[in-house]
Amino acid sequence: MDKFKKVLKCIITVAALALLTCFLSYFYMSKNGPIHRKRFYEQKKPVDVLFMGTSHAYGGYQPMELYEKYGISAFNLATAGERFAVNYYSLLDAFEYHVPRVCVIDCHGFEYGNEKNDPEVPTRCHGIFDGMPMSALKIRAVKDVLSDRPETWPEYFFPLYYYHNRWSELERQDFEDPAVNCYGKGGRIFYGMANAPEPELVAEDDYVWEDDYSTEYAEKIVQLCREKGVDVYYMCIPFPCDAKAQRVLNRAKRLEEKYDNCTYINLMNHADEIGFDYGCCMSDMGSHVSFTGATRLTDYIGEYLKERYDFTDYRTGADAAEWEQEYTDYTAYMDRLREKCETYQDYLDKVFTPAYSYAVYVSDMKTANSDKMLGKLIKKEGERDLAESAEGSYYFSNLNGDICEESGIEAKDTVFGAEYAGSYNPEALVNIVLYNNRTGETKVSSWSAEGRL
Amino acid sequence: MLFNSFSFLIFFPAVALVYFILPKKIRWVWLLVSSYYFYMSWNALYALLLFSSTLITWLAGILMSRFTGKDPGSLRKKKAVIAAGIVLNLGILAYFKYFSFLLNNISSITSRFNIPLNLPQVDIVLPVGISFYTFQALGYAIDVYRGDTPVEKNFFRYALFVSFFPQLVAGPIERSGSLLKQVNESTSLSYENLRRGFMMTLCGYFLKVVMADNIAVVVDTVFGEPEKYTGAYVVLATVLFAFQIYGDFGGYSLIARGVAKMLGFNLMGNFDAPYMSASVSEFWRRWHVSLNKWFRDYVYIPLGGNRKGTVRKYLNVMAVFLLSGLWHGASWNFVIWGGLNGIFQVFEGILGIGSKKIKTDGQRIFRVIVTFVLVDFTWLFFRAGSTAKALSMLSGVFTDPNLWVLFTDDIFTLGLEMKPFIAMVCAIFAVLILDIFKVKGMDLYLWLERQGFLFRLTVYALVLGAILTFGAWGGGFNENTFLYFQF
Repeated sequence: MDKFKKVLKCIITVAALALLTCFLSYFYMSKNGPIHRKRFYEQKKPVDVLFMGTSHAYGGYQPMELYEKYGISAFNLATAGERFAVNYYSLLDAFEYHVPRVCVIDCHGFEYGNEKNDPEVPTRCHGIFDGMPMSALKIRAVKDVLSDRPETWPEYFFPLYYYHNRWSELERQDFEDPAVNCYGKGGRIFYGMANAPEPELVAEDDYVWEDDYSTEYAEKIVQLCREKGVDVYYMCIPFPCDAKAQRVLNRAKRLEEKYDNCTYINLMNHADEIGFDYGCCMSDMGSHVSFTGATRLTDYIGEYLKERYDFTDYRTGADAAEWEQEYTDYTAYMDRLREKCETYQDYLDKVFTPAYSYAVYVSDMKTANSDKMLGKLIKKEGERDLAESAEGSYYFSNLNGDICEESGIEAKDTVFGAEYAGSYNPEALVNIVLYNNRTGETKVSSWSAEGRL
Repeated sequence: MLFNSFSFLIFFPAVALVYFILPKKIRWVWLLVSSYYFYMSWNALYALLLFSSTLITWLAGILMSRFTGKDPGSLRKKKAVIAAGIVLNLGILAYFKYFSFLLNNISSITSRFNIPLNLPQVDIVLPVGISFYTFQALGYAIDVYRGDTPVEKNFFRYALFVSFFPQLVAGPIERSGSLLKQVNESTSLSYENLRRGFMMTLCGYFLKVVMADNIAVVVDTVFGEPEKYTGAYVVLATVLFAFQIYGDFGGYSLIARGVAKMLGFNLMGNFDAPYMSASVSEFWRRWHVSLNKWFRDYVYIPLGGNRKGTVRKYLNVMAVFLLSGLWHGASWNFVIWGGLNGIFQVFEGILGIGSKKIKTDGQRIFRVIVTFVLVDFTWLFFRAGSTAKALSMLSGVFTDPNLWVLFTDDIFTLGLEMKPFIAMVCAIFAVLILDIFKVKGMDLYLWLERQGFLFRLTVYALVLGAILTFGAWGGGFNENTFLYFQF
């Protein structure tokens, strides 16, 4: 009996301490990568379009907007600084769960060239590998991508090894359910609207090929997709870059020439068709597209794909209820994201989607539009020129598609006087009423040139 | 293979599992194989040195056992054998550890007198743990010579005594009377040993990765750029270094003892709340106990100890501590470090400090603080890397005593941000509090063993949680080598 008790105590000790280690491992790890991937694995309906690539892609393609406007089921599995080699294994893993008809891959991976030994690589790999379940594929992926850095391998199988230092950086959201920060089907949003310079345009077939680590895996991706019957679209998301960089990104053209399942589109060359204006479609200090830019790119891709593929519309029929729930969660998630905005440009950037009706009253357009960003943001939404030319007060509303635009108008003569007089702040430079078309929830916010009031 | 490496966390459970599965008769063979594997994980060639040291001292023992007679001839032969054993064994150590030092010094002296001497520049890599196993093996040979221990006829069992992996590379330096005896008796799996060993190991890891390795970040920053960090920074870093080296070496020793205990072996305690000492002499009875006992038994007493008058006693103390300094490193700053410790003890002897009875707690606290200041002063020479650097840093303390930095956020720019810095300070206090209990005569392991299982489990979980959370380990960290490995 005594011996049995001792053995039992040993087993309990080992089990409890192992459990503690697992708990700490989960607690300290960054949940962003894994939670998106988990959602992808758990999605019941098929994924027809899969977006992959770098931060340009996760900020540039918004699957929920594609879903809402075209009924296309899409998911975005891109992560920051993702190399094509990681893309490749991410795809291999993703195909275990969903085999899409189309895979849209961001071209920025070509920029990494032969940078296999870049010290950034191990950090960047966490975005994908943390979310992949333990499997022979994961072991193979880690060993291959990090073949020169075996000392980092434990990080991907035992997350505490890498993340335990996060204890001093924990924030409120680390103690919340990570799922509440993940309703965009992998699409993520950048903050800090920026006026970015337009890139120098280069023809798509003007490229400089190089046989390197990146091109090797870019090609492997196309071959893998061909085996699975998936069409690959290498797309270059707009960002301010020079001709030399574009010639590197255009390497995808060679893959298009070589493989019949591969198409290359340099979206920078289609900015006018897309309505992509570098004065209001960039954020994050001009390095990534803003939400407005992303919705315009997504819209363009939706239109493009709809013409070529006969996708199931998941907004109707048996899937309608699920869709409604997903979209409601998504708008609630967007509401939370908007609360973090520090400027009215940032806020409005995340307002202009068909999910909302809205009214904007600007007391002094000359001040509010001094950088021309506000005018550009509104112009595209309303297809009006007044936003760009007005100098005094200005009013713009889009109530379920019914657009109204006026300048030199008193607030009392607008929706702010009639319905929201109590919430309207006469001292504010910009007042915004936001109305959720589905839930009916209304939010009013007031802004000065410096920020939220 | 470091104790705080991933590979050791796989190696040890595997070794222990197989050890207890094997029949008792051959368990020691498995330990010998494992110990050599452990040592060869640094460099397979180093095993040749370990083997040589083992062979020399074993053969010396065997030969000496043949000269048992009391006649002058036998005694002379016995003396010749032990002398040869010591010379050969120390010769290996001297070559690897002191040859470059010797050449540099000869070169430095001759150049001072403008004597052209083209000595070769040699860069000899010091094999890990060589000072420890050389001393352990020498201790055995001397014990056999003195007749304090029986000769071990089985070479492989003796090889296990020299290479036993928990204490191979940084001690404790065991005696043949204890460890060799245990090697010859097979050990059994015991819950009590597992429990005690696990507690020791856990505490050792706490000392090493939570306390020592976090402190190392700050200490390395300051000592790495002494021209940038002066005055109060030097004082802070030197105080912290006292705890770093304690956590590092004390942590290693505890892990070694814990790991050995789980296998059923008892290794001697190497640290006994050293910073609670009320005199430098007491400090040296509590710090690196196994080395100091070695020096006492094989150097101090043979030199005459305190039996040949006061002056001779002080000379013997100085000799021991200068040798101890040299043992720690082939550099003058280590000799000065050892010399200072010797001088402090001589002064204590002259002033009669060590023999005076402490009457009040206040008196004890005062003396503990003074002792810490004296010992910590010597650590500056130990850590600085060179005498010139140590003196330059020391002068900076007085010429630019920028004390205010200790009260600003500047101290959080030394490699640890505020939260990790606070965690590090908390770890130091936790260790000091436990040491206070220790000097008050409380056996914390025994106390914990007497508590209920759930309470004990909670303590394990808290300590493990602290190690996993606050410890300097994993990605982004190089497993910090234990400081004493270089000796």
